[in-house]
Amino acid sequence: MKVDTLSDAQERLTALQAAAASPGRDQAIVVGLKDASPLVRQNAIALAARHLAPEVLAEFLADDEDAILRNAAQAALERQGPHAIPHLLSLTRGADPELAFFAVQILSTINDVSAKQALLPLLDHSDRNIAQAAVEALGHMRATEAVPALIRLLAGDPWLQFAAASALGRIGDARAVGPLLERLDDELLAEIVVEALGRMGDAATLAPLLDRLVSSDRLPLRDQLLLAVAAVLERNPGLRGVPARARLWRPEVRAGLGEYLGGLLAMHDATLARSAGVLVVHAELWNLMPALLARNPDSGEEGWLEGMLRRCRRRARAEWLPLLQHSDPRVRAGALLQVPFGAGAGPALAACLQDRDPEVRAAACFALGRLREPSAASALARALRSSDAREHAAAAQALAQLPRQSLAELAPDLEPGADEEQMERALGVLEQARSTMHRERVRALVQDGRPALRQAALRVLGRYPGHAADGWIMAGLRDDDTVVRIATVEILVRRRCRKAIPALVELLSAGHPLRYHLVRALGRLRARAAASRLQALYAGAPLHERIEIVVALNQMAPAGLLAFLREVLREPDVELRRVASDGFVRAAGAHEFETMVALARDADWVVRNHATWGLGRLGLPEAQSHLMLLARDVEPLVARTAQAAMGRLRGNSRGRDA
Amino acid sequence: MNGQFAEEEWKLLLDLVSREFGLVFQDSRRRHLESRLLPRLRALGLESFGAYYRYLARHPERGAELRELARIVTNNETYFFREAHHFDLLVQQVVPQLSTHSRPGLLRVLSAGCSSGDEAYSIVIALQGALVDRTGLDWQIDACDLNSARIAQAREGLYEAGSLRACDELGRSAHFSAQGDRFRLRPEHRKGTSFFEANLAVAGLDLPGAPYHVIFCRNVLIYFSEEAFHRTLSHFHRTLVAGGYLFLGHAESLIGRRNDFQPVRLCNSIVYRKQDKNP
Repeated sequence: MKVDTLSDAQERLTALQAAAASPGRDQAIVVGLKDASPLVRQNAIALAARHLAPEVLAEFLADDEDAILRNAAQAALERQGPHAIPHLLSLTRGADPELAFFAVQILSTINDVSAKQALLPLLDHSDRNIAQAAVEALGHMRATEAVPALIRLLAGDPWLQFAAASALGRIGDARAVGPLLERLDDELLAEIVVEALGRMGDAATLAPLLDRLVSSDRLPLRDQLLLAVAAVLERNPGLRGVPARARLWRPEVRAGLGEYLGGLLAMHDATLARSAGVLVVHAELWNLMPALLARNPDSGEEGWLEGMLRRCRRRARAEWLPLLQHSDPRVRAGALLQVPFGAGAGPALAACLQDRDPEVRAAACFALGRLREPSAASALARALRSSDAREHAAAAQALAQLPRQSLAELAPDLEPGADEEQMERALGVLEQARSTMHRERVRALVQDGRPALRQAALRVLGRYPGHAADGWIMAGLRDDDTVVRIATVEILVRRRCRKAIPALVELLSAGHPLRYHLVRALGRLRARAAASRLQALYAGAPLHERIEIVVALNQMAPAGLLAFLREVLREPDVELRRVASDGFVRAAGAHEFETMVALARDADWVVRNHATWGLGRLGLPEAQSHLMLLARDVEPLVARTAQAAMGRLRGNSRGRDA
Repeated sequence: MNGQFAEEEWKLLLDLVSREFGLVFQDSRRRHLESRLLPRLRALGLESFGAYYRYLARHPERGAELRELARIVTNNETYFFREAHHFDLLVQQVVPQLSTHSRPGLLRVLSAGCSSGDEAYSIVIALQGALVDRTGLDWQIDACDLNSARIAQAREGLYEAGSLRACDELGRSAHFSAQGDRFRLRPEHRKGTSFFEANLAVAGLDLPGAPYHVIFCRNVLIYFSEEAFHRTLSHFHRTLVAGGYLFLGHAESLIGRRNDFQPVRLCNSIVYRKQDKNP
């Protein structure tokens, strides 16, 4: 028996790819659609979308015997997108209910506006499966024109009620809020209605959802209610009255809810825990704050929680300071990182710089930096000298945020006898702060014997405003150390220092690795004056530099670029051809239409993608048929580019008609 | 390649990661990966992911950068005695069977995708705990990973507390000595281990200690592309002795995907045995 190992699957894949260019192509594709290996099948689906007619693929949808083939045909029709729509619409009106059902599902995935109107009558189809598929499709397509009919279905056939509630939630039209709220206590529909209301996030639904959340103890409905409440609160940050409402909860209700939310905050489920956090903050359930803060540092939710706490800062400041004394270091660190303490909290935050836990000390640096508290400068400068990497990195970041004069504290770190690492850290702070303090010392360090310090000093100068420092920085181009020279090139580009262009061009005679960076720098500076020099270098340059020369020329767009790129497009290396096609499609005018069409047939998907974008950019009506073909490209990204380009063409055409 | 081609740059980069390392990334992890790659762009003085892709594709120093990339894209989540029942199965079921059938004398085990060595050392601790060496059986534990930094850490044998999360107090003190807030593996547990860099997804992978009696490759294949998955399994098939065992993570299965490995139920766990293609 033949085993399905990699080599077998690969052999079949190779055979399929070879057949794609042969007379037996269509048959080979159909065989591939039935293949047991997903590797082969995915390739066959891409080829089927490109080469088989929708009518052929649709026949396989009716194949009850071979589910693999049917699913593959469905996937291929989905990938065909706009090309398949006319035939799929005809199937929705056909006599075969199963085909009609699949056609509606595929139209839903394709999600093209042109199908919405055609699907509306299917909401009342006598076959409930088709009607349900149409409900789901219109929900997926966010068809607002379907809202009245979907509201009607909410009160109709129970089979369709679920789908209608879900679709209304997806569409998010305010007309559906009232009818959905009316179904909130429907035992069968409650969960889906709550989910729909959560999706909509309408402020008017907060009170009824919150009332049911505190009184409900039935899972998973309670989880669904919490998610919906949190969604409404997040969608409407200005909503008031939740704490007042919470104060009316009876103690046992409050305790029960607290237990429920506390349990969620300890869970790994980030969605439910985050929703619990939203309610904790908005309802000011401060006894749960430690649980919320303790989970936060690991959960990637930092920005979210900080923003939410910032919104209710005035109400709760007094409640937050004791968190800095909490026995759990995660809570202390969490509070320092997330809670937007006011100016009065400076001494309490500074005291945390003495905490025994390095995470907490680093978090204290962060909090002091955010406060921009000048009196903390001295303590932060000490933290900058810490041996703990987290702490000194946080101190550097904090110092950079303090008022300008605070950086006077760095003077001892920059003195000639200071430790090299310490000097680097201090220079890093000056760079981050874009500070011009200690200017003479920084200038002197550009001449220091240690390359790392020269580089760090150049970076500081690179942040100086205006162009006064350009001359000092350009001296770095003559540095003995190549790494410093490369860093200088980057600094000059970031400063958009066009004054440096002649010096950069002069250095092009340097070898690897500096020249690679010079070429890229000249491109980024749009140094058109360097174009002819780069073109002259091209033939003798190593491959990686040739690629960057093409990229740089694309950025400069000098005269004669198209002719140069046409030559590069004949090169065998695919990366060269890719960058060349990128430049070509950006620079080419309508007279290059045929070249663009030829590139759109290229074997490499990146070249095709560029050409597709270029055809859309030209906006010529004759591009339509080519784009229709590209919208079924074997590479989905090319297909998406083509579909977007077709959309633009349609827009142009409507504009012309108007 | 910028602006409207951001998606293209991203796909080129992901295709390269898949081609080089066999790893696939979901779109949902894009921001996470981007934030991890940004320091590399800064270090190389590159301004975009497109420039980074071109560097990885054609720059003469691409080899060094691919190793950096491997360090970034690999998931190093591991700890001692993760899925602890596997180590019980090894010493209680697999080793006695192998001893009976083939009398290996030297038990050869591969820990594939070993990260910082937690799994390889867990195997040694388990074998020593079962007094396997007193039966006259010796072992060689080869352990490989794509990530050179993790291999260096494995050789150093120094671990954060998180790596010992499945060890009780007794286990911690028996197998490790405290070193500040970290833990150093006791030297006797290094016995027979050998760590080296290897990319499981490349064609023609050469594993120096083959043939192996047992391969551990847990929670690695779930990150692989379909192609890399099959290629790796073919390597394993080639490098296992006849009837050799393959241990996978609980979320990984070969059932319905490979018929050259036979699923075997051992004490309510599924492990796989090499099956000859043409029995």
